[in-house]
Amino acid sequence: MTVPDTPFEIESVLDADTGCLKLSGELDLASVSRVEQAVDAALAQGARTLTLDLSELSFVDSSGLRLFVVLNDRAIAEGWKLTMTRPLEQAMAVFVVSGLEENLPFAEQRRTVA
Amino acid sequence: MRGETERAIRDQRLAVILDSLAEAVTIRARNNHLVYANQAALDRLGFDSVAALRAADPQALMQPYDTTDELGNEISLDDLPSVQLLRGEENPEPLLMRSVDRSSGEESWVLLKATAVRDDEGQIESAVTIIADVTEATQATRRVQFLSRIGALLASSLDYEQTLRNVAGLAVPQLADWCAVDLFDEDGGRESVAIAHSRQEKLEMAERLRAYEPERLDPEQGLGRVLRTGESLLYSNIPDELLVGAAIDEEHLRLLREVGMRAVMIVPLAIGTRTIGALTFVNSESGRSFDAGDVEFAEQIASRAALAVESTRLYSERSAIARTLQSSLLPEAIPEIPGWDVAALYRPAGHESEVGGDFYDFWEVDGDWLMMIGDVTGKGVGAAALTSLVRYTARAASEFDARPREILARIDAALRRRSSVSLCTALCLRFSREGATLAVGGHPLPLRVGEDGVEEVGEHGTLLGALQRTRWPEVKVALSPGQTLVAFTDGVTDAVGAEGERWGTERLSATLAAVREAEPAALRTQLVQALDEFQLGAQADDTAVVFMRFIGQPADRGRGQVSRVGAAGNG
Repeated sequence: MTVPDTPFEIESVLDADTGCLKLSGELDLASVSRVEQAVDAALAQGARTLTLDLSELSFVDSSGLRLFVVLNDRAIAEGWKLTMTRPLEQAMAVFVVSGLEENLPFAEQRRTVA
Repeated sequence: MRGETERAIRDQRLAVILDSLAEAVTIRARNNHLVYANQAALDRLGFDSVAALRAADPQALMQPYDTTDELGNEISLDDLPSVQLLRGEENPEPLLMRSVDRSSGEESWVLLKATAVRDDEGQIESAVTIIADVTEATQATRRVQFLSRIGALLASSLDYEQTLRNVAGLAVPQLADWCAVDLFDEDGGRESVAIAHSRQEKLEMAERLRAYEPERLDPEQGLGRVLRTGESLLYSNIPDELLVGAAIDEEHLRLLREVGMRAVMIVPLAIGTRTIGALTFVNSESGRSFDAGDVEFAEQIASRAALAVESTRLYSERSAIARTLQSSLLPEAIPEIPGWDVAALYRPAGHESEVGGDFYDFWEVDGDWLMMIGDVTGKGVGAAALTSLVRYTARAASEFDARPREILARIDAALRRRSSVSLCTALCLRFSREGATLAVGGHPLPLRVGEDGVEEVGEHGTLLGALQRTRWPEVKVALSPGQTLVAFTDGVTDAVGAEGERWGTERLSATLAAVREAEPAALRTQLVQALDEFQLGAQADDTAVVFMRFIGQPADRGRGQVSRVGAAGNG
């Protein structure tokens, strides 16, 4: 098997009732369950607002897209708040062309140092 | 005189001590005759007294036994350690010897160790041999070794018939002179899968014997009985009357006698309570018999072999199901479409027992044609069910409204009705001799390949199956004759290269641009070659590509006629 040179990583920062999961590298079928586990862990610790920071995400495949759709549905059904920051350009293109950009809770702008 | 008496008393005491030993002890004189044996040795050799033994010819003493070493090489009198010592060889190695009693067929293993007895001048006067019976330990060791070799062998092949042939091959001559493997079918019929003998010429005899065997198995004896009862059968001693009784005619009897069957055991190959076949072991020329221990060991081999057969059967069945399922998700053949020359590529990723999530389809509605290519998320049977739903929803929807964007909307609605989030990308193209229109749902845009180069056509639309805000813009694609539309799934552009980089749309475009005026089949060849060169190791995702070359008007001029006209023009 090929090892992509940008392995997938998750960095979790949890406060009292907010959580931030920073996903970096390439998100595909093999890494989807890791994100699900990290989300479950954050919710189990009481997070009511969850931010998925995708600013270092370089690739996402169809199972990755499905994950975001499922998480968005879950947030609505379970009554917690999901926000997402935009991924790197080549991964963002996938959200744009699939119509997911307008259907998922992306923050309006990429966060900038200002 | 006094000295001799003392010596006689000493000898007698020694004899009493030696007789109490479990190990057999013999003394061999320089003329190779045995001059002494303790009680255990007398018992083993079958003599009543030392005096009778002394008179026996040493060569004749070995006659009732078939003696071999561990590897099956024959052992003669000259190979015995005591005889080697007397011949003047220093410190001969202890010898592990198998001896089979020619009359009873009983097998035993002995370890022979010899020590020299020297006279006052240091000349060898005689040789003392201690014979330890190591039958149980040796058989146990050899069985463990055999099982471990069988284990490795059974794991090495996914072809169960080959696996069984290997088992039979390994069993001879160590376990038996012959080993045959039969499989039973559900109607009580049987199939001979393997028959092995250590000597090739003997196999022809087996072939001739097979011809005498009835089509139907007799439930009362032999294989038929094992099939019926699921229990092993042991014939530890086969008398000639049994052969006479079993023989169909004179020739058959002659063959049976020629094989010289000494002992037979048949053990079932069982999966749970179902007997799928049997292993038959036959001893003939070696003269060995089988005992309950042999049957138990053969059953251990059979249970391993049966398990291996079952898992390879399941595996090939699973692969066959996957292939059937997969092919049911693709058109059986690319149809002849007037005005178009079409080729397709489909390569599922990974294991052949898995079903991929990519698909494509062509069908005709009201004189127009529809092509759809797509990718459902997931793999396996779930993906196959989803693909089926998408494909047949599209076909049904097109009967009512064959516009691509309406077909995508119907698929989207069908997917939403499912209880779990089911996503699908799809590209739907409607085309005729006049040209094509297309709509895309979350799928890569197709490429138009022609003499002017390669460019994306169409407009992106929403992924199907789950989203609130949807749009599927329908686009008319302008095509001139000779241009080819190439629609593909993301397995093509997401293919990973040696440096971890993705193949991407640019490499795909460059590959197609290099052969942009080629026919669809040639484009396909080029693409496969470029992908294989780029891709490191196994393909990670399913790959589907459809190549559609527009030939166009006039309606009654097919591709063949065009080329004939061209040929005439050149001539």
